[in-house]
Amino acid sequence: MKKKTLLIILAVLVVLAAVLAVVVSNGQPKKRASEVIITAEGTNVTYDLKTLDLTDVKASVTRANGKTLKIDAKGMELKDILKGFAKYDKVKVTAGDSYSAELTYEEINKDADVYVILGDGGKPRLIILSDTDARRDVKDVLTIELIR
Amino acid sequence: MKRISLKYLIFMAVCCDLGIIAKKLIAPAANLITDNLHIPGGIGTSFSLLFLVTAAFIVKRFGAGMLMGLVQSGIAFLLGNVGSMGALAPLGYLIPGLVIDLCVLLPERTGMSEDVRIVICCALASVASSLTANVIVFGLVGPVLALYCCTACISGIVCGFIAALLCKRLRPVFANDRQNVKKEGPET
Repeated sequence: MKKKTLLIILAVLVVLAAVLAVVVSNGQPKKRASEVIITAEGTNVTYDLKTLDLTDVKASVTRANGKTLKIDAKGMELKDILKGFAKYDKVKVTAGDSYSAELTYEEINKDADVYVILGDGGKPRLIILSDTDARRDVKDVLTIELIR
Repeated sequence: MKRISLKYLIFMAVCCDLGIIAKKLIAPAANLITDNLHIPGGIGTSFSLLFLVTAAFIVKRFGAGMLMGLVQSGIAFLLGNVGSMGALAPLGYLIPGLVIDLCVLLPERTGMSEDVRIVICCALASVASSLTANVIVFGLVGPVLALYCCTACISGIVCGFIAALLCKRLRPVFANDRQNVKKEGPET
């Protein structure tokens, strides 16, 4: 194998990535920055966070690695957002970059713990105050899927 | 595993640090690209791995890649930089290290020049790292996973070319040193 062959492989991969990027982009639901799409039993409901009754969320979360996350934003508890929906066992929150996190019904219904706030650029962000790591800190929330 | 001289160990340690710094430096630009591709990463790690690949191909000892992976995971833990992998972060460094070690063992009789082997090594390590992250954290499937791996492979190839260039520049430094040691050897 020569360098030229590698360059051809690289070119093929770039083309393949471009095609896949179009496929992935087309597969994503379209929404405005501050909106979240809630999927329950096959139906999608879009909420614009800005139009909801948001409150000030101020908290300081210290993670296991010693880093402190200061939160000072407008937001709403996730359990309040999901109030009108049928019973669910868990929720899958997926970001625009396909990163996702799962929460159980019990976790969501803890008082003052799980919030969806307006993050950078007015994009919805999932924050779990009791989590010791940032594993379920989902920025740019795209969909919230209710799973039975 | 053959013993690795102190000089090589220091070089490997420097490469580990450079890898972590490079990943941090490239992260904002990499995130800009991956956000638009709707994938959770796949670019930054290749820039980290290029230094490990460079060191592994200079040192040429089986285990050097895994050793550097272990050191990197230790540094990441100490800096609180484990990201979404949490306690499983060492796996995310060790598996690419193992892939690098296996690639270093690729025999020269395969007809591939060392530059090509370095590029392939970097690409495979990058894809291995992405797949490990996917299994531990992301759980992507279908076209998103394909795009994620494809992006990791592209950045791995690009970084592989940089690693090959670095190896070419650095090899004479270590080769000269070996010759000096041989010359000085009988006198001492």
